[in-house]
Amino acid sequence: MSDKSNDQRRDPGADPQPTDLARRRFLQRLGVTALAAGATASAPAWGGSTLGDAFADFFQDHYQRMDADEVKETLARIERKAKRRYGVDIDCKDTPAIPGVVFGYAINISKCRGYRDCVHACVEENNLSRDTQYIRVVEMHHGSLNLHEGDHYYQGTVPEPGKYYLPMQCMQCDNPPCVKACPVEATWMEQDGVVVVDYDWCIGCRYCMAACPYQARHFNWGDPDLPPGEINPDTHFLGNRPRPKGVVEKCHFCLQRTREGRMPACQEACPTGARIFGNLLDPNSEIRYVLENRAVFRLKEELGTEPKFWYFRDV
Amino acid sequence: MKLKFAAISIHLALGVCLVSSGVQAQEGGLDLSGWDWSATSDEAAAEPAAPAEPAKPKKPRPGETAIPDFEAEPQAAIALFPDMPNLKVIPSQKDEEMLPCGNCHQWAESDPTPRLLKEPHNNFALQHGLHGKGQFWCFTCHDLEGDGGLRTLEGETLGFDQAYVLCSQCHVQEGRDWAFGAHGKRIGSWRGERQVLNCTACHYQHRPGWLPRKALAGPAMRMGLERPEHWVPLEQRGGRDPLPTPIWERAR
Repeated sequence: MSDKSNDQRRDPGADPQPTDLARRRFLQRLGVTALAAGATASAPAWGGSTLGDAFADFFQDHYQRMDADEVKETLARIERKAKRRYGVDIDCKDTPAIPGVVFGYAINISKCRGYRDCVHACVEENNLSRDTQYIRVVEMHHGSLNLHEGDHYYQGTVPEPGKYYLPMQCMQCDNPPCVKACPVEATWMEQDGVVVVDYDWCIGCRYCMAACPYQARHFNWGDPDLPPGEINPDTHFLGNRPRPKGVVEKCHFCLQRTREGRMPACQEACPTGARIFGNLLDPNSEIRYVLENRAVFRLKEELGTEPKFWYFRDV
Repeated sequence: MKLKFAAISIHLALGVCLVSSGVQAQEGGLDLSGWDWSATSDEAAAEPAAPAEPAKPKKPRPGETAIPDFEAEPQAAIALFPDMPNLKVIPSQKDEEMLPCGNCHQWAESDPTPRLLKEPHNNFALQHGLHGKGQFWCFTCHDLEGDGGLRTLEGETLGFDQAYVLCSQCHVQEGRDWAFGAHGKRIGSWRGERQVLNCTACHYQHRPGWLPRKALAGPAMRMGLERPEHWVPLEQRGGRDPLPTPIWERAR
C-alpha cells in the first residue's frame, strides 16, 4: 500500500511542507490574476479553454497533494472541459476508497465463452477511445496455459471446439511493477487495492507499459475517439473521466461504480456469470468462497507481482 | 399464468379460440398444423380485434431463457444447505409466451405414461441430458395434477421462481456453488444483500446447454501483426492431437 493515504491528503493541517504550500498559493494567485487579465481573450486561443482554466490546468498539482478545495476546483474544471469539448454535462467525483475493502476478481474460465460482451461494456462505461480495449480475451488451446500460443484477435462464432477463453485485464497487483517504474509517481495503489493513474500528472513516458507483465496498460496515441453521444456522464477523477492525449490509462475496476457499491461493468455485462467480484477482506463474500474452495491460479505468479485477479474452473 | 391441463371452464372459450385461429378439429385427433404457436393466451386469440398491449422489450439471449424481471421484488431463497448465506432471487417476467404448453394442454388431456416424446412435442427442444430420450420427460419436473407448476422428485410443488430447488436435486455441485456464490450471477451490488439470478435466467430449462454465438469485435490489429494469407492455425499444423468434442457440441 502507498504510504500517502487519502486521509492525510484531506487534512490541510497535515501538510508538512509550508514552502510547498506557499509556492502553490503563489501559483494559484498567478492563475487568478491571469484569469482577470485574460478575461477578454478569445476562447479558442487556449485550446478551447479559458485562460484561467488553461493556467489552472498547467499548475494543477498531483492528486495526492491536493487539499479538498483544490480537488473540488479541479473536478469542476474537468466538468467544464468536458462540456466544452464534447458538449456533455458530466458528473466528475473523487469518491474515496471504502475503509475495510480490498477489491478482488475471480474468473471462471470454464464458463467464459469468449463473447466479448465484457469488453464492449467496459469500452462504453469507461469512456474509452473506440480503438482501445482494457479487457483482452485470449483464445487458448485446451490444456495449454502458454499465453504465447493464445490469440486475442479471434473472430466469428465462439466457443470454438478445442479452445478456451482467458479474459485478461489489469490484475491490480499487490506488488505492482508499473508503480515502481513510474518516474513521476503518477500511478499508485489506492487503499482498496486498485492501481490508479493521475492522468494529468502522467508525462506519457510509457515506462509503466514496459514494466507491466500483463500488457494491461494502454496509451492514448491521439485524442480519444469518443462519440459525444455515447459518453458516460458518471465519472471519477481516477477512473473514467475523459482522458487527454498522450497519457497512459488502464482498468481501474470501475471505481466510479464499485466505490458506490455497484458491480463493475464487465461483471454486469457477462452473460455467463463467469466473473466474480467482491471484497477480499469480507470472509463471507463470494470471492472468498471461491478462493477457499476452488483450485485457483493467477497468471505469471512466478514474477511475484501478487495479482488480485484469480482464475478457476469448474471441476 | 399457471398451466391448466384440465380446465373445464375454459372449454367454451376454446371453441372461439379454435375457430378464430383456423384450427379445425378432425376425426381421429386434432390437426395442429394451422395452430398459431405464438398465440400468448386464449383471450388474445379469442378477441383479435382487441388492441394488443405493448410487449416489454426483450433482450436477445442465447436460448429461450426466462427473462428476469428486475423491477419485481426479489424473493428470499429456500435454503438448499444449512450453512447457506441468505439469498434473494430475482423472479422472472411472468410472460405467457414462456409457457407454450398451456396453449394446448388447457384442453388437451395429458398422457402420464413416460415415453419418448413425438409429434407434436418435437416442436420443443427437449435436450436436457436424457430428456427427450424416454427416460426423463415433462412430468419428471412438472406437476401433472394441480396447476402445472414445478414438482420435485419427492412430490413437493414449487413455483417457477423456485426452479433452483428443482435443478439442484441432480446438479448438486452446481446448486452448492450457486448458493455460495461460485456459480450463477450476482446482480446489483457486491456488498450487502445478495441478489442473484435464478438458474432459468441463463439456462433454457429444456435445453440447458449454451449455443455458440458470434463474438463481438476484437481489438484493432496492431500494425505489422496482420496474419499473412498463408496463415494456418496451430492445430492444423500437426501441433497437437485432435481434441474430444466439447459437451456443448455434443448436446446440439
